[in-house]
This record gives sequence, structure tokens and C-alpha cells, in this order.
Amino acid sequence: MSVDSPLIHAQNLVKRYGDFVAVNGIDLSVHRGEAFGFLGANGAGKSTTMRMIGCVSEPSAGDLTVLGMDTVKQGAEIRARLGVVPQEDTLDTELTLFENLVIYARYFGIKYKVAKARARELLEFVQLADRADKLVDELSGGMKRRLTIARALVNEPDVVMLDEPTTGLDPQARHLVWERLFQLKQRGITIILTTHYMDEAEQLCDRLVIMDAGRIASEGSPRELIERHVTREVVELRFNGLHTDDLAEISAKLDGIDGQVDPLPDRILLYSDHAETALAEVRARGLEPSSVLERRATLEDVFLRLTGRRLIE
Amino acid sequence: MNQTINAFEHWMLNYRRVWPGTVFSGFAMPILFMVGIGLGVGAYVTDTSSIGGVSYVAFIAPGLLASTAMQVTIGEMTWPVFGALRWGAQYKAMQASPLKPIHMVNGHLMYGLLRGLLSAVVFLLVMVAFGVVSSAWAPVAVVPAVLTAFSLVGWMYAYAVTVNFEMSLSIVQRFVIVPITLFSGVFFPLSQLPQYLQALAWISPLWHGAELSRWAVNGAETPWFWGFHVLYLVVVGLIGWWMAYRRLTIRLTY
Repeated sequence: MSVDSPLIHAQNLVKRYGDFVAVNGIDLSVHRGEAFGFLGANGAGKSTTMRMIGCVSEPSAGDLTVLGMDTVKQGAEIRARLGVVPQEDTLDTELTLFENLVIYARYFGIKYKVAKARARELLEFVQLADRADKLVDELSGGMKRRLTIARALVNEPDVVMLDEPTTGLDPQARHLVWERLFQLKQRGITIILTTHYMDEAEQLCDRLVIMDAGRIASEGSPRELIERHVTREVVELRFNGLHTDDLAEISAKLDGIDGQVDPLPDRILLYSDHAETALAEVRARGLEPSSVLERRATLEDVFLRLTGRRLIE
Repeated sequence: MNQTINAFEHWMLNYRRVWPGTVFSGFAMPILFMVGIGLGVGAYVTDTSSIGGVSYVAFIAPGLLASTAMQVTIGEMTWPVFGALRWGAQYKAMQASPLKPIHMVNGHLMYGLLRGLLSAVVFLLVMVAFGVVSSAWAPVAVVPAVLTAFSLVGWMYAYAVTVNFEMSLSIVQRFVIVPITLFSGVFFPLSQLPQYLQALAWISPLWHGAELSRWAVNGAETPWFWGFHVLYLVVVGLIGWWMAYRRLTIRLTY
């Protein structure tokens, strides 16, 4: 495999479960050292794609290579070089933290001596060294997550895959996980993650795809996506507690303004590259918002724009 | 082979937490059987001509040895397998590693058989304590005991992998394992049964195992050529093993 050929390459990848199409013909390439994200609502096809890349689920159609190998024919060889953090922790709750890491290392054929040394080192890395001999059952959700991350590193993987690494964690725990992932990225490890948190994707991903209903809705760096799909700035307008229908009426009055208008139930979003001028125009039309918030557009704006606001279950 | 051992190690690590309890029951169960049935019921058995002229307790002990190994191994393949796939995380964790279904199956079956082997050894010690072992060949009885366990281990595993309700496990224990235990010539010779039931008992791996075990311990001639009994246990076991492999592969592939 040459240096610049992609580490992960998918072409027209499809996964069907009976009549249901979970992944509907996606193409993607991930390069060495990249932090790549799958962003999408629940059921968008992120985890299914991850499972195919992780060689635990076979594609229904299309081509998928990881580390230059075919995921169906060389699954075991590929898995030997991946570190997987599944959506739900698969720790053995009846074993200690230390035992969990060592026994997992054994699956990879790592010798006991090496396994034990790495287990100690990794527990240090995720700040759980003081609990090495406690049972997993006694850990909080955030600690279990960190332990799962440590476990995924025990085979010194080329690629670390994380499926919703911080879902359900409190803010402190999330930040600690992010910080550790950032360190991995600094070491040049390729990271692939799924998330439905926009801030997480913006913080960690060099490049990402937004998935919707089994397809890729858009692809690029967080900045590129923002520039492509929304404006640089967003103004949030509120009108003294007015909502829904009233706001729809007000936004009708903003027709033709420099920017796009998007009424939400509790406020109006005004996407514009020139927030100041747009805001002046709002006032010029005789509208006086009770509060005005100017902010940078985020991935969340892109996401909502691309996938709509419907709740996908 | 190495990877099978790697999977096996996980079950051994889990076992390390519970082994003192299993050693206790490993001794207690045989003692209860030997006293309650061997000596208790045995006191009423005065005519021993149909059981080869040995005491009743000496007659049932070798069969119980095979039966215990089988039950312990089968027991490990019921809730522990069902639970590991549904509630536990061992299989899900192994799936993300280079281990393949064949290693996972073999590792788990190997663990079940080891448990059966250990219980057979313990049973043999209890038999020595009860003075029903006179031949130096008696330790060989551990082999048919483990073969009996092997003949059914894959079947039970395949079943536990496939069923969706816990109740299915109790059903197989009550309506398959218990009848096998009772009607395989362990507690009375098959000749006591009507002809058609005898033919049914020939299907039971435990009958073949118990007869082989009795041959090793008491020197009682096997009803059929010994090699045939062994072959039967091996063939039934291999079919079960293949089923176990197939069922797990199907379960893990989606």
C-alpha cells in the first residue's frame, strides 16, 4: 500500500436488512492521520457503516477496503489493527479494570508480560490507574467509557474507531474524553468517530460527512461545510416571547432581505454574511426584536439545514 | 489453536472468581448421590446377579461418574452461553478482535469440557473414598466421562445460542437431560426396560459412556464392542460441534 492511498476506502457501499436499507450507496476515503467523523441523527446509518468498517458486519453491496485489505475476506487481519470503542461498552463487569485490559490484549495474541505493561500504561493514560483492581461494575459511565478507550488502544492500533464516544456523559467526562482523543490525534493515530453532537465534530474532526437516511448529505471540513451550506454568521432574533405562528408572520415580512430567514418555534434565525446590514434592514422594516444574538454559524446550523428538523426515529 | 486458547482464557478468568463454590459442590454432589442412592437405595438390593455381582453402590458409581461430567459440562453450556451472548459482553468484545467464530466456539466448549473433566476427577476421588474402586484401570473411566460430555456439549451450545427465551433452557434440562440421566443404564441395567425402550436408550450418549466407564472401573464387559461405543460418542459430539459452530456464525453475522 503506497503512502498516499486511503486507509479506508468505500465505493457504493450498501447495507440492507431485509427491505430496510440502512446504508444506501456511500463513497468515502479516509487518509492516514486524519480524524474523520460521521455526523447524523439516530438511524442515519452511521453505526452500520462503522460496523462494516470494523469488519463485524458484511456489506450487502459495494466495495470496502480498510488498510488496503478487503473487509470480508481479510476481516481478522484488519481487526488486528483496529481499536474499537463500541456505542455500548462491552466490558466484562465481573472482572477488574486491569483484567479487562489484559484479557482483551490476549484476544490479539499479545503476550502476558507485554499486555500487563500496556494495561498499566493505558490506565495511567485514561486516569484510572488508582482503580486498576476495582471491578468494572463499580465505575461511573464516564469511567467505563475511558476504560473502553484504553482497551481499544491495547493492540497499538493504526485506526481507532469510536461510536458515539461521549453520548450520555456529563460535561467534565466529555471534556476528558475529548482531551485524550486529541492526544491520540497528535500522535498521528487515525481516528474515525460517529457523533450526533455538533460541538464534538467541530472540536475533533478534520473532515466529516453528514449522513441522512443512509446517504451522505455532504462532506468536507467543519469550516467548508459551514461555508458551503450556511452563511458565516447567524443572527438569532427573539420577539418578547412571541412564538410559532406569530414568528412565521414576522418572518414573512422579512422576505427579500440580504440573507436567509428561518423561523423556529421560539426565535427567528437570520443567516447572513453581513449580519450588521441585515439587522439594520430588519429594523428599517419596522420590526423591533426584544433580543438579538449575533454568532458564528456552527455545524449544527449546517446539520439542521441539510437534514431538516423532522425527528428521525 | 492459539486463538482458541485466547478465547478459552477469558472463561478461565471468569471461573477464577467462582471456583471455590464449584469445588465444594463438586465433592458434595457425588457424596450425596453415593450415600442417598448408592447406600440408601442399595440396602434394598439383595439380588445382585443382574448387575454383575457387585454391590449396588459399586454398580451405579461408574455411571454416575459419566453422568456428572456430562451434567457439569452441559450446565456450563446453558445459562452461561445464553447470557454471554445476550446480557454479557464477552462475545461482543471478542468480535471486535481478530478472533473468529470458530475460535470463540472452541474456546467456550473447551472450557465446558475442562469443567466436566475436573468434576470427573473429583468424582473418582469420592469413589475411592467409598471403597468402590478396586482396579488400577479405574482412572481410565475419566476418558469415557469426558467423551460423554463431548458428545452433547456442542448440541447444548448450539441450542443455547439459538433459542430466544430463557425458559427453553429449563425445558431442555427437564425433558432431555433428566430423562437421559434416568434411562441410560446408570441406576439400573437396561435389561430392566421393555425392548422398545432399550432401543431408545441406545441413542443416549450416556448409556455408551456409562457402559465404558463401568468396564474401566468394574471390569464389566461392554454390551457392544468398546470401539463402537467410543465411535458413537465421537461422531455425535462432532455433529454437535459443527452445529455449535454454524449457529454461532449465524448469530454473529448480521
